[in-house]
Amino acid sequence: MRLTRPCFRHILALLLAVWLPVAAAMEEAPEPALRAVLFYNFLKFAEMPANGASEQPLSICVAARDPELLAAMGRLRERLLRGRPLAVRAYEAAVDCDAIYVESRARWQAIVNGAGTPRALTVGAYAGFVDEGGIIELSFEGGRARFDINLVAARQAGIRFKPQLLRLALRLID
Amino acid sequence: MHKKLALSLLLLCPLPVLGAAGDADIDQLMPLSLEELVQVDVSISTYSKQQMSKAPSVVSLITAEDIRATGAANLMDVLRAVPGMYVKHNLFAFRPLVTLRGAPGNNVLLMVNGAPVRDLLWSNGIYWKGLPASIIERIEIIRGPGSALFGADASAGVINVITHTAAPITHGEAGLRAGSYDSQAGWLRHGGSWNGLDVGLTAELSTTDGHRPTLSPDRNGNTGKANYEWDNQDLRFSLAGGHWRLLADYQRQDDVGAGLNGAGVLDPLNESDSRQYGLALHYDNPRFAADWGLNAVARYRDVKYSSGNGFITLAPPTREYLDAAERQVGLELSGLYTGLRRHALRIGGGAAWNETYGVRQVNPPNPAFPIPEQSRRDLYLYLQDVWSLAENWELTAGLRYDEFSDFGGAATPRLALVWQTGERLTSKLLYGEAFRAPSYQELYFQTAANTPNPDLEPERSRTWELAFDYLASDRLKLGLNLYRFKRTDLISGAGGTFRNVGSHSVRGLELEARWQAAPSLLFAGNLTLLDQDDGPAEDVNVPDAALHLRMDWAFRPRWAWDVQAHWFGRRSLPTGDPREELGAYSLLDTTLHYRHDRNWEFAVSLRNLLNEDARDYSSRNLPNNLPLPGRNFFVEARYGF
Repeated sequence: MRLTRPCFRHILALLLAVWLPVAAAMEEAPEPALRAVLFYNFLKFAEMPANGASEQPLSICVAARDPELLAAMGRLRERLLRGRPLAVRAYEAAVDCDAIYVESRARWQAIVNGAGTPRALTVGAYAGFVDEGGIIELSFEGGRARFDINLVAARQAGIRFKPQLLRLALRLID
Repeated sequence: MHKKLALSLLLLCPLPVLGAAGDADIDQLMPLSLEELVQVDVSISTYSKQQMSKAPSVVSLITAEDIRATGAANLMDVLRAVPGMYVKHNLFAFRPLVTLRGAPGNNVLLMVNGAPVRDLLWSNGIYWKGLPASIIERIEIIRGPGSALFGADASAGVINVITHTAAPITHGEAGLRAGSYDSQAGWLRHGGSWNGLDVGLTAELSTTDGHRPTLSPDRNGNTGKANYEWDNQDLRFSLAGGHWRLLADYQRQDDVGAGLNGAGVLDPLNESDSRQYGLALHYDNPRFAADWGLNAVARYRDVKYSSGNGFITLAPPTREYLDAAERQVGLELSGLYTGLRRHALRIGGGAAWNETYGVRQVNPPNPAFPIPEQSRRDLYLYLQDVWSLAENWELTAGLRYDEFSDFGGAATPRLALVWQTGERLTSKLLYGEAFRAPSYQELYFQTAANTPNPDLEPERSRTWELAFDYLASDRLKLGLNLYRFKRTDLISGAGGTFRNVGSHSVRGLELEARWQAAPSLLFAGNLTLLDQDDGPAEDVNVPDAALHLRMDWAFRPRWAWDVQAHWFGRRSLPTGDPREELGAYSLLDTTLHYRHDRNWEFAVSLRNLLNEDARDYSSRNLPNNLPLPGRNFFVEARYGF
């Protein structure tokens, strides 16, 4: 069957009439940028052992190999958090980190096997991170960010979270 | 298309900013509250990242945003700019065939949502003309062997087209496009909720007269225009809840003009049609049990095509008819085990079954060559381990075994060693084997030119590859790949009967760069160099070099301008072909976008702006080869909701 031109246009008009009147558009963001900014916000709402006691840069370590994520994290460099500049670098066992972003289970296992569970705010990007001793597990469902928090692991690292963060967590392990 | 209305809207309204990529960046995200951040939609989902990590080779990712910005209306407009890829066209119905790294299209596995787009009789369906761009959420491309994960026909690479499905259709869109060749298209995308389930719908209807190239002369010495008109309907519905997703699709092509018959005779009358529908039920649970993730999928597809009012025969000029259909059933189950320290082990298996049916063939001058109805079953198992050898070293090892009911078994291993060489440099050494299954025609189908051979072995291939990804700065990303790709046991019908003969080697280089020079200015490009051995298996109509350059510039608030230049190098002729070799050609495409407000966006696109006389090689039956579309344009309007 050939769609005649008038028939084709009528179908289009009908489709548009039925579907057009809907809600307003929302913003989109590239995933690496959103991960980096959420990581920054996790730090913002965390009371960490050295908070207020140091003017040294806050040491952010990234255990990841995704170049776009590394670039996005790199753009947090020099930003201030409670007066402290952020120093962002690739994770190395020899370097003290205040916060660590962990891309995969393999990287987390390598960190734990090398130096034990770090005394830092750890944010992991794979399913099961909070069940394996990590503090915040960041995931995306339906294209939007979700996170779980392991309060037991946080306490062991000497970290407390502000209620603004806790109430947005999908799951709290306590 | 209401051009006047669009223009007056353009002139009337002073409004906000349209970024080069349309995405928020870190600076724009920073001021948002945590509550707002968890409401932001990601333009590339985690799901894609997980899928990409399976890649046994170098991967290209093309997003819906790239597709929109470049003015691509069809999947094929996108693929032609991928490093190593060349989309060539068949004289019959102007069918696009995607070649990669010098290998013909039957070495490139094309999938939609993980389901192979192929059929026994005609590989991609006799009238398959790509996919509408409006339905595509992203395209994941593995450049390199993929058989260790995906099975047959993935020697040169794998293209997986991910369509917009529920969830995450978070943005609705309706659009209209009209342009040259009396082409019109309308599409709709919408996502919503129903009884606690996510629902998604995409639809596109289109019609075109095609570019109607003048063939002078055709096989019979006549001059005329090839009728490449076609109408397309593409409807997709999806339902998602918990770990389950149900995908349903329906595609129909009507009034497809073959243009010429397979022998190169102009056929102004033929109007054929085809339709296919599919159902797929996916189950994906990353936490199925302790240390286990589970993925399962069941698929059904039915493909039917008809020669309509018949194809013209070579001599005497009468008409022949061919109708055929095929059922495809697939089932796959895989698990990811992470209970072993430093290992992620994926084990999977499945079955695929294809069967032709309803073959009706009326072939008056040549009734001796019936098409037999056949079936093929493939049972397979695969195992893959990602082993974190050390802090910055990762070894991926995989093996898949396929057992086919008709030609036997094939085992395909792969190894990938990835070294995070530095903070900005990743190096990869890759090795993979792959195979191409003998086609239905090669195994069973007697034609005037060839005798089938049921004892054929699959074609094999081996690829070595060295790849580097370098982040030169936060805004400049570079990639370099060097590979050697050798195919053996090649199937050839040159002697009359199809046999496994000979081999073919390709060495190649692919260089890529993407530079976000400013928040509103993007430059991207890639260069491909191919060195094929010049034996009888060399694929003609594959350029020995190609260069693609792109600029995307949001030069004013709400305005964005995209320019793409494509240059394709010389293509060699088959041995003994007396025609003059086709030289290099270039195409220049440009698209101007105007965002009126948060909902309305308008675009005008000029394709082949310089009206280059570009041609694809055809068989010798067309002495002057097959002209590609000249300068053409379209205008479009989109309403986002």
